[in-house]
Amino acid sequence: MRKYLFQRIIYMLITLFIIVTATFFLMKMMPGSPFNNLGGKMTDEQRVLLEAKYGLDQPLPVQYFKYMTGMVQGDFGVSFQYNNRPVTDIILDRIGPSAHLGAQALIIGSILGVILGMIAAIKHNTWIDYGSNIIAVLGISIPSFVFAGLLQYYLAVKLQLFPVSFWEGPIYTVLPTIALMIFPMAICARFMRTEMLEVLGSDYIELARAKGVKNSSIMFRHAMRNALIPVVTVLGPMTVSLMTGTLVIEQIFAIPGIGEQFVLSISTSDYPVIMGTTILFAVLFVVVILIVDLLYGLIDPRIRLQGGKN
Amino acid sequence: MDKESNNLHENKFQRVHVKEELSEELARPQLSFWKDAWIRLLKNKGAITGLILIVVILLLAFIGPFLNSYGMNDENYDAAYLPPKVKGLEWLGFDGISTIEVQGTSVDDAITRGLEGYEIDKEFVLDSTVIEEPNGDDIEYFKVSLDVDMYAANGLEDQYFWFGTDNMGRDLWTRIWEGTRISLYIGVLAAMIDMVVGVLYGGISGYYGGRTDNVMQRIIEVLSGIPNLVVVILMIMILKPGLLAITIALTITGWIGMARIVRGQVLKLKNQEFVLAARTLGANDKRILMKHLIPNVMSVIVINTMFTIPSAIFFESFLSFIGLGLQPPHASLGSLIDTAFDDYRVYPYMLLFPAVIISLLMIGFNILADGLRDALDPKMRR
Repeated sequence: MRKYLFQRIIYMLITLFIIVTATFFLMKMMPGSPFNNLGGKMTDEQRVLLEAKYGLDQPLPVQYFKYMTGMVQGDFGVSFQYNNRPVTDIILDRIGPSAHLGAQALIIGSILGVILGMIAAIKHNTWIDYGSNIIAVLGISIPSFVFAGLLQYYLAVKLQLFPVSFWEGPIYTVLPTIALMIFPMAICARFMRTEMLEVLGSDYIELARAKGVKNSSIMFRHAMRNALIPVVTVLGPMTVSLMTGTLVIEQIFAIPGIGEQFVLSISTSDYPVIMGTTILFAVLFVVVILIVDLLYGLIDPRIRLQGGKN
Repeated sequence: MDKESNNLHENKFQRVHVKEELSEELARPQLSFWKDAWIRLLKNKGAITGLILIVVILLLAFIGPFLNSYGMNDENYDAAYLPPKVKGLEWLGFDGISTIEVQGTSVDDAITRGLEGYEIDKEFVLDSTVIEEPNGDDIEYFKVSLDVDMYAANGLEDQYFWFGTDNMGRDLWTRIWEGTRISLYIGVLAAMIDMVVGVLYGGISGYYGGRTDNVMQRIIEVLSGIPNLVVVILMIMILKPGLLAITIALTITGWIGMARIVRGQVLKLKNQEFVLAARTLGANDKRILMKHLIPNVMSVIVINTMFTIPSAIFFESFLSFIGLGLQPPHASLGSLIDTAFDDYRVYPYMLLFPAVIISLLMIGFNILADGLRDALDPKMRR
């Protein structure tokens, strides 16, 4: 176990190193400079001064080295856009709404998904089962931004049940959370249904029935617990979908989160912010995958983790 | 008793398996694997619905733009923001009538202001209803909704824009189907490239094993740690946004899943007797891999490719939505949705049609892929 953990962390660091390096050099290759936008308003002298101020006139390897040493110390440079605000500040400032929304969508989505999948499996081949299947297919198929748009139009603009946008209280989180949680919910429901069906057909459930255990007890204490184990594996794809989702959902609902900032920074070529956010996403992703793998090994001792073999 | 046993004479019995020559014959007509799978697929109602959906959308994507006389980029500023209108379908809401909301200090003031703002003559207002009246406050505030025949107001009674027009007066029917074609093209192309790269990579890695496998697997392990989203966004930013950039970005990490699956299958198959037989007969590595192993993995490859197409379509529209996708005047479903978002509160039809089509397309591909998986590989049911 310890050897496995060690090995995984080494791979994780290599991956992160490659991501950071690639991000840095790709950023530098990008067309356009942050000072292009000012056009004719700036003389060449001013441009040189500005570039010197932000260290953009130094050779690439020097810039790279400076960035890497800064990053290890938690310093991602300063934004070009907001009067020298440190990137770390900007990210910390905006991580709140994103984390709130993400956690809310993840928790509600997976709980609802598990319940939906369980009911579908218990009522196998009835209209409840078909209904939950249809919900799952819709949730997986309909792009989150389309869903968000439709929700916003019908529930907020037409029926005026919820505020259209912004982030000013619990009621403002309802629509974005629904839009964001639909995919995790659908994946969870699907997975739970298959696992539950498999568990319900197994010998120990039959034995429990033969012993005369109450039906509800069979469902919750025997079946659900065992069916839940493999559902942990969908946490990976769920995190990815949440990351992708926040980019568009935050934009649609005008939520001051990281995703909205990221899209904004892309359009203004604010390199340091883009790089900082990319690295944050990458770290989040890699860490979640590692946790999922470890969790899986802990919960289900039958799965032996050995040297990263599939 | 005795009499009865006498009745059961040997002659009265007939041996069942007596026709030796027929015992080798099969009762049912022999079906190839693919034919069998096809029959199983046809029995799956969901999968067939998906298939029909895809075929209909595919047909419309190709012939749709030719069904009316408007071109992809025919701008006509007189016809900007016209709602959908179809001859014979007026009762379904395709009547060319827009509902606009106007505000003012009195009902009349609201209407005059609104008509001035939208540059519409009063005679084209078919109906008006007051939505909001001042409720006890001192503020004189009226909100009135007007039903306006936009086609008549713009002097275009003889025109029919089936899905309406956009901000530049371009016909949305044509643009939406052209956009669908591009979305489909990107999805299929990306899936094909993923398939080729993934199958080769996974096949070679699994077949040769040993050190080759080890090195190739470590590369995959590092690559798969990189979030797809990040790679795609970075690639799009350094390449010029467009068809090529999107395709490259989508395929740069997209093949990993396929490579892993193919490798696993090849590892399982390569020690079986038929491979040994082929080798004994003198087949070389390339022949064994291409003629014996890959065909046996084909069902898994098909299933995986079918799941890649909708995810590629989704990613393309996602990129277009955040402004990194196709650039105007080109259009894909994603970029149409993106433009529609600017003023969908006033012109909801602009968002509705592309949103419905992309959803139907995704649903179609997803349920067809599910059905294919059940038909080709019942053990893989998840």
